[in-house]
Amino acid sequence: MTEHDVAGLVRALRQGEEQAFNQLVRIYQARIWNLTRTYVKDEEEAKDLTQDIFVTAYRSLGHLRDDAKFGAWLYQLALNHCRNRYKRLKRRGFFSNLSLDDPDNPIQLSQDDTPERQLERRDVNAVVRNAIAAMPPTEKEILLLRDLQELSYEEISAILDIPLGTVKSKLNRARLALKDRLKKMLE
Amino acid sequence: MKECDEHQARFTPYLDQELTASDRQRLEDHLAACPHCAREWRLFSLTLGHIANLRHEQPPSDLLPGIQAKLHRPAFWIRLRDLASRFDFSMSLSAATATVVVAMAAGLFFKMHLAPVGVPDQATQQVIRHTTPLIIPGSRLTTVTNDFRVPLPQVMAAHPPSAADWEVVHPDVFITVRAETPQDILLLQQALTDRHLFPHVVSPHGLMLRLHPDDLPLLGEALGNRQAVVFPQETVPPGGPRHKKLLLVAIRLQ
Repeated sequence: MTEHDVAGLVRALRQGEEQAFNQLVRIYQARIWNLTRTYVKDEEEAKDLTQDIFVTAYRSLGHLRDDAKFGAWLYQLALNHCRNRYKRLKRRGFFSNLSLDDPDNPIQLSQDDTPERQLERRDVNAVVRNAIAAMPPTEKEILLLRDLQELSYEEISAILDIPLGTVKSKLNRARLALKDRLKKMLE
Repeated sequence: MKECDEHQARFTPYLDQELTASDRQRLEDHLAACPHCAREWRLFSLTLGHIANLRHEQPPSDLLPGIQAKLHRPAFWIRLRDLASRFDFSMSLSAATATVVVAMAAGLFFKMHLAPVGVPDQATQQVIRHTTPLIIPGSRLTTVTNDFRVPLPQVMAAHPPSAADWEVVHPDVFITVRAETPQDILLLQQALTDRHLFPHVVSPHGLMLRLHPDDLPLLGEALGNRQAVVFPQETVPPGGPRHKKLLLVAIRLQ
């Protein structure tokens, strides 16, 4: 799906074709879901957040100037939602139990890909997600946009409105910081 | 160790193949020679692999139906809920305790260090129902007409050190006179004494005097062409408070 195809769907949606919106959701739902899931770490919160993001996108489409930039615009919208939800949850002590030493998340890595292995991988994912969720906002967002969403440096720079060089330097710092947070699990 | 930090700062450019050939060679030589950095590089790579694993998680199947349901919900409720979600009134126990302590300390401070201000309460407010000029018919004094709730004037005798010494005086007639210059109070005092009306309290902001109801026209003469507003009390009957032998008149200049 190219930017051109997305722009066509956005145009169709502007003209009242509701199906175009469903297609846009199908294109972006996995990416936005992964972003929210890792940002707030809780599955139910992420689901509600993802739905709110798309609802806001639908209702705010009039603010989008360039149809071809729908993806970047959606990410900006998603990150704003994530930040607000994260702050609210943090005030309520939602993240106070984030710890890599959590006895409820025993980490045992094995080599074979059995059902047990898949279960263990889910535990590993939970620990990685917890570690990312606890990072400072800017570093977390750069890490998510680059390593989870696989966006280019230019796209990240435009979405977060920060210089390209800053994106690169902060990305390396974020990766090193996450490595240190996960060291106990990785070794 | 500083050299190791410099090399680790190049891990990402190394992955992105953005290093020059010489820098790339230096980093690779260092990783081959330094067990600490070699281990950090291994952990760095593993970390990226774990982040990549998160990409494969699929969203819940009911995501789109949930979006459709929210879209068809009345927009008002969505807005109301979003508005409420922006305001989070929850606070930690320590913050709540601190707020209460600060409020109590502030209250104590005001009680101990600041003189009480005579704030008129409901009982000290009077309803003015006069429509007849009280002092001199035909003069330029402006009387208050219709039902108009105003705080009853309170005249403080002085600024004593303790609240117990405050004296609140309820005059029978209260007149606010527009003052153009600070000397107006002296000119008004002179105008009164010329008519044998002698104020017993004179301050930079006003004066008080007692006079017989029959002398009210003299008071009107003393005020002359000054712009003034009269606030009589409800107990003062239209046509003049003639049932009293002496009236307490307070004149404030502002």
